[in-house]
Amino acid sequence: MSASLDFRAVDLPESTQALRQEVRDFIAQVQPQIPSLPDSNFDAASSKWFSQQLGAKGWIGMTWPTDYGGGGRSFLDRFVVTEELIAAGLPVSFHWIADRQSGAVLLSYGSEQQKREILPQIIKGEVCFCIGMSEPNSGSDLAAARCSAKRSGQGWLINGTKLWTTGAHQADYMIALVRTETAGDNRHAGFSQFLIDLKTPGVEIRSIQNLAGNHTFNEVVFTDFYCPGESILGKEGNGWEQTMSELAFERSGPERILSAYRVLVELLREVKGDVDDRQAEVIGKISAHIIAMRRMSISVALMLEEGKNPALEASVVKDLGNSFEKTMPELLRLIAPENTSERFQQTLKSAILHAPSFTLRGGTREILRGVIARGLGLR
Amino acid sequence: MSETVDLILQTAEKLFSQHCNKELINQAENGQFADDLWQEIEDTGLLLAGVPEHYDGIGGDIADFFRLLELAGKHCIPLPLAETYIARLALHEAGIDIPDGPLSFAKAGTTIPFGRFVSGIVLWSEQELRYLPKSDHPIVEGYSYAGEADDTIELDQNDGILLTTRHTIEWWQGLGALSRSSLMSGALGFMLDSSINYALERQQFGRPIAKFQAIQQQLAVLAGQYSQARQATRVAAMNISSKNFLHSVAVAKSVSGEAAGIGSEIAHQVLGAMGFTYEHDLHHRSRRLWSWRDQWGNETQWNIYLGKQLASADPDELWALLTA
Repeated sequence: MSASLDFRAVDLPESTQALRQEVRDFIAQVQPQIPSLPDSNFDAASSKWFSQQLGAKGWIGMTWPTDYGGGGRSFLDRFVVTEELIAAGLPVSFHWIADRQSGAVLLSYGSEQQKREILPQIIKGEVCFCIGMSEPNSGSDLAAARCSAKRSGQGWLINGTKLWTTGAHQADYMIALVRTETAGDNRHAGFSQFLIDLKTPGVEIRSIQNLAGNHTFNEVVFTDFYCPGESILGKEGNGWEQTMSELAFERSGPERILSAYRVLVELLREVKGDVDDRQAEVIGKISAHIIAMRRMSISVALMLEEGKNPALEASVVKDLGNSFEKTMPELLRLIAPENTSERFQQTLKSAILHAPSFTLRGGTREILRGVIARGLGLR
Repeated sequence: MSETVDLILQTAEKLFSQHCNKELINQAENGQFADDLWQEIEDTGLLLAGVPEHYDGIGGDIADFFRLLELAGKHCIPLPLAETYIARLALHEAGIDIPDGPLSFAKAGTTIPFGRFVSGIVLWSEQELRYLPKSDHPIVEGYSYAGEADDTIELDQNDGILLTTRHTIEWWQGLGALSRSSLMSGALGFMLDSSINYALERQQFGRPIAKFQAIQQQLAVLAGQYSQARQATRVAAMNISSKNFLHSVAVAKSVSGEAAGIGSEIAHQVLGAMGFTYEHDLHHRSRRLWSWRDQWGNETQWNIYLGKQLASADPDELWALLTA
């Protein structure tokens, strides 16, 4: 029912203003050193150097406890930093997954030693994580995953294939959903989460080119791959629940709304302040939606801060956001002047070529709408 | 919002659900003014809700009243609550005695909601606010999509009294548009709930239609549209005293107007032929949504307003404007 949708209209606290200014100053200073065109798609570019710069500012792992080197700051502070980076189109993908969700999984389920060893490295922008969920026969139907782990001496032997794994080719670690028991009547039972060190010899990582000709995702094959005993995260058999709570972190951030944002900026550069009513209407419509959805995203960040489970609200934001960010380049191409700059064309091209992925990654539109329907009491 | 808002909303919810039902709304469509309901609302002091004490109200913020309007939209209160409230604020600011009874508030050159029933009208134009006490101006009776009185009154440009208020002319326009967004948010929430309930009850092919993915997915979209409209509307209400107020209103009116169209379409598809009957109460919401989205500027008008403002900015400053 409508009452289960917990969106609140709140302003970001005053205290975030100084932080926002600090981020903007940093961006102004660092942007000239980045060779690629700004691109708001968080998958677009990866730069360990850039992630290290952010780490030095204390802007990775901002919400994590200071005991582990984290910032001990609020999710609203993190929201400000992430939206500034995405809007500026900076290369964030090296640390993005670790900062957004893997760190949270480690904090909740990692051993003390894993936390002490790995979290500080994430925070410095030194290590990259990838997500081991999808498989060849398990996309939206995650419970169909067949990748398995069997006990072997003190550790585990992993067999199976993870697919569409963004960043696996550069990642140091994967957090993988793996079957530790064969599937029974309860399809969600018998899963565990593993922290897999991808730099261990024996993992086979094959690149997959996307339709834009880029290499961002991969196929990762484990054949009798040995993981030490401490690789299991949290409780054996609790993998499904752990993965579901990981997804709540994955689904509501600014990167789910703003992937095509730079096209709007470049369009403004093309029209040079001189717009007719039709152009103004499209610019206004897009901006209205960005402003409204951003306010919804802030509300989800507040829920995270309060320790609430925002699974329903995060799905609403992601579904609205993904559908809208996908229409942005479509609307903007139709109001662009006939002769545009190389810069505009490249920005538009990148958005259109990557748009098909917007409503797939992190949960397809159809899966999200199913989650929303469940939250509304329909299923 | 003030601390008293919860109390105001509880009172309003109770009063609206007790005194406003399908029959009353239908009677209003047949040209009867809902006198008893009006009197109840006046007696309860709801039209003073959120009126700051310096306006002789009962304290609280003006934003509180827009929360109350969400409930008015939910229950389809067939009375000029928004119009009376805003017109009274304007008269008060201008130091003019407030007459008894309902008032209207409208854009000059458009139709006047409840025109034939009110004791005075505050007219907004881009230049000024004017007040027209009840007079013998000829009234041409008209009706909104919802069958509510929506009349044309022949006026001369200089009719009535010029109002001097402490707010800008744009601020008053903002209140008008925001009132429509608030009403729409409330109606969309009701529509979502009644569509969910219907889908859970209605059996086809041996099971409730809620079990079909095609239905689930549509209702998920309706939930998103409702959430977005309500969020933008509440943010705008929160910004009533801010210099960004009109920007926030543009956002709210644009996304809630769009949600009104998308949401009504989905609800009517889910309720099927039943929802297309006069008998069912879905049309009380959908027809009002179709009226409200056009009043005080439709999506295109507000998008153009917002787009022109933003397009004139330095592209590298756009983000600062969107996050202001």
